[in-house]
Amino acid sequence: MSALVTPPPRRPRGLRAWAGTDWWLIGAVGALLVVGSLLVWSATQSREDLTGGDGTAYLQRHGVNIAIGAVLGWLVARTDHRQIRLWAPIIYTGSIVGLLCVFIPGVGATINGSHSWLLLGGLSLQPAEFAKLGVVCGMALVLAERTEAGLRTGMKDSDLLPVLGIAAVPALLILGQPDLGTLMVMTAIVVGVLAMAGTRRRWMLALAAGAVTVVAVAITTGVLKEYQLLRFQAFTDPSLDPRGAGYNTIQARIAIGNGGVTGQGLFHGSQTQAGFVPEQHTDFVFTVAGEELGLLGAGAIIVLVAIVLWRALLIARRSADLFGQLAAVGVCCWFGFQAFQNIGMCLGIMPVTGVPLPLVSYGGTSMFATLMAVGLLLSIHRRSGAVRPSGSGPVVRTRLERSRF
Amino acid sequence: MSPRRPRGEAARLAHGRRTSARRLRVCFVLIAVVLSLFAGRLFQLQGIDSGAYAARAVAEGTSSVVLNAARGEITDRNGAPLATSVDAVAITADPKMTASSATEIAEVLVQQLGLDYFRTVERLRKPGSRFAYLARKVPTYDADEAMAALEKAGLAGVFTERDPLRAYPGDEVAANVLGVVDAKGEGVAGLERSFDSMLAGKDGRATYETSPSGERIPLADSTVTEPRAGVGLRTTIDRDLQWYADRRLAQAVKESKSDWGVAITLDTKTSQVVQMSQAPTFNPNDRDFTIDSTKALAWQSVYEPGSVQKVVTMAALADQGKITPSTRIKIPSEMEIDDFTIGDYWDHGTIKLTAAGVIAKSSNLGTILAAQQMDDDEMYGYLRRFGFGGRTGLGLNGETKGLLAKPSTWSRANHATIAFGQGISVSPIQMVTAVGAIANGGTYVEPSLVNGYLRDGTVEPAGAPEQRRVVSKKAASMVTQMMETVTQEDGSAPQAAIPGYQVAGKTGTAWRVDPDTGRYVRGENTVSFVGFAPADKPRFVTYVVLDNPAGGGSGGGTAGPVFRDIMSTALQTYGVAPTGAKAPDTPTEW
Repeated sequence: MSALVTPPPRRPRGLRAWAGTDWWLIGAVGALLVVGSLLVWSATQSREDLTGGDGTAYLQRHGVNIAIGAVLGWLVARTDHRQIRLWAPIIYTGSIVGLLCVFIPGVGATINGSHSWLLLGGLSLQPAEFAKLGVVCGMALVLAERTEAGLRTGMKDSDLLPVLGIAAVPALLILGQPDLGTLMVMTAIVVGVLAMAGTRRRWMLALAAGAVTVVAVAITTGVLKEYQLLRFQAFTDPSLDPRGAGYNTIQARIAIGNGGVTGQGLFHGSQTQAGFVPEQHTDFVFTVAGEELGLLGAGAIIVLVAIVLWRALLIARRSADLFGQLAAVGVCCWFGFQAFQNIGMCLGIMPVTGVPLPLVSYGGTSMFATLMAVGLLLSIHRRSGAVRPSGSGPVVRTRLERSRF
Repeated sequence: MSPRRPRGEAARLAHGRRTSARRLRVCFVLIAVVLSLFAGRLFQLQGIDSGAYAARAVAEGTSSVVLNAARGEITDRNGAPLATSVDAVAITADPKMTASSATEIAEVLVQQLGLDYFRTVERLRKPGSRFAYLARKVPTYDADEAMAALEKAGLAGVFTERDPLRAYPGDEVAANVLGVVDAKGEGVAGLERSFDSMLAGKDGRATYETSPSGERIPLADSTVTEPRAGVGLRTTIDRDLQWYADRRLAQAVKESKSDWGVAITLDTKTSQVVQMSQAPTFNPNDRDFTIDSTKALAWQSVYEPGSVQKVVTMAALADQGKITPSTRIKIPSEMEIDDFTIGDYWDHGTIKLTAAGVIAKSSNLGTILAAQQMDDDEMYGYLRRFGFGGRTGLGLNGETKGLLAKPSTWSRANHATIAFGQGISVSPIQMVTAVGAIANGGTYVEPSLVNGYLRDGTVEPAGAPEQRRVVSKKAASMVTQMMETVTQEDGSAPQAAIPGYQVAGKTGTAWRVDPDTGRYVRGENTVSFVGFAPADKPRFVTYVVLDNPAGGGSGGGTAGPVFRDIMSTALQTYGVAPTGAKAPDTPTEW
């Protein structure tokens, strides 16, 4: 490790490939992937309507997704994040193009009420997942560029509009799908990155006020679809419509409550195996853990998620350059909010919106994007404060400058 | 940081860095708070409320069916069935499926099973329900026929489920001992009631998982609590003897126009009830009997026993050495006690009888005079030890204690009348067991009706009954000697004699108490005969009671022949050889 105290500007790739790896992060991510696979398997093995008779069909596909995601993540992780910074505009533009493609007839598809899918060959992709990565990289890039170009360490008020613009383009496209869940995740990313970049409090407050206004207008003018409003109403009172909008909420809560402290055992949850909870291998995968693994298992998942978030924040803090710091915070907000939203809706303390539980839920695009984000975190970590000396200023300063090629 | 940078700018940037660091910390705290919130909520759902949610989970995704436990069989002492559970089914319907075709289904069922058309249609259309009983306890064969007819007609929505039927192969045989079960299958009388929880077993429950739309999920997990079959009872009853005694008693009750009759036979060594008949009785296979007719008079009725009681009085006196069969008693024509004038049932002047003669002729006055040798407490003590004024240990629901006042409340007249069986009320089982103690050489053995328990095809013997010595063997044999005179030619009941066997017995002709007024009714009697044979080596003791026969009747003439027939059948059935003993030449007069 000490060899990294003063790293050469371009280290030969492949050397000391594992040095500076965040084992905590990899361990927690790996554990979540394993648990997730088991839960997806359990949720689908007796669902012949989904699997077409092969109980392990979803397990296999989930495994393939993880493998592809892991390769993508590994590629990202072994790349210097300054290299990634170079590619950030491409990532961002690519995700915008993907979001636009959704609206091309014959390529886009509507699943579960959202026009958010791309059908390419045999693959079905959700470009919105990649858009999260795109927004994280895009915002981090713009802020870092503008800040470092002025040799500043904080942002100026004039940075606010371009940054918001970066987020607004994909946000509007996602609103058009519509995909409320992703939009909320996007909002969380924007708020987190802006806050970390040092936006003045008054601007933060103004943004919050603006958001409230937008939501109010959306509800009153009917931009939100009726099913989305119903979900929110059902959240406040699930018994309002137990067979309809409140059904998910009630069934999820029953399944989790049914688990008790130790759970009914993997593959033995009565609610799960009977298929009472809709979308249980994707958005409601946490209820499988709740019922079959009980308080201990579900609690363990929360702890694992907490470890991932803790490492992400730590990586952000230790990052020697602004791009790394903001990107890490963006990823943390993405994972954190999505986990918060997902687990919260399973527990009945958040309204039902379709966001997957990162690293656990079934879903290819989400898995690819999530693992690439993990790769980004690892990349930032490897080239940052893991070796940060106790003093701050000068060293940081040097590296910050150096990070601009 | 460049040294050329103005100070103000540097301060602002330093401030910016601090802001970022602070916000990072806020972020840490925020995440910690949110995750703690999750943990708390998780704990609330799974740790605290989990029972309620688990119950809802079961209710939500399942429907359950009761699996009826087979009710235990009741058999006679040789294992012949007296009460069995027969496979039968309940015909049920899912009104949601049958509502539209209710009339067609009802027509088929009316034809096949004879159901009421309108009631059936109503049940097939029961609104808002997915379950209705159409008929219960339908024999499996009939149900199969009906279901086949429905299937042929293409009518769906009618189902069957197990609904065992209690059957009594002997119809009236031992009906009051066995009792009966109600429509819900719960014992409401007799052994069926007393041993209900044991016979019933424990119903099981199958809980099937159902899909959200209510259909059972094939091959899905189902929790089945297996039913625990009821424990069977092996009674002490001999079915053949019981059958004979039932008929013989019923005939006697009919011929004598009695209100009711009871006949009980005990094995003298064990006090096991070999036969316990009652007339009138009921047929538990019919459903149209009154609950009153299911009462087991043998242990649930009380009456004044009359002269049969003299045997107990004599046994008590003999045990104290106060009399022997030849003790001479000089009997006046009548006696006045506490302003009551008491006489014998036949008019006589002053006569001289031995103690044996008092029993042979059934003299009230002779018994009173003999009993005056013991005080109230002594007499009460013997009565209690002979089982009067308390339950016998038969162990069945509703057994009466009889009526025996405390000696402290006795008048002289009470002492006198109780000695010959008036002013005391007993149940048939109390009396036959008490006399059985004399037959058993002075040892009282508590009576029993249950011989063993049938568990999984094996018989687990019932515990041995409690026993106690109440009088000496010598006293018992002296009383036996006295009782043998009763069935002699010059005794009070030659009708009870059985050719070839020595029979010890005693008649009873008691004044009957009107239960409404509490007074004796002239001309209404409770007549009885108790006896055991062979007298020198008793095998059975049989007691026959007939209540309120037309014209008053008499213990010897009315009850005696019934005793004779039941006892001789018992002796023959069990191959009890005559002992060849001669009647003892006991003088009755002096």
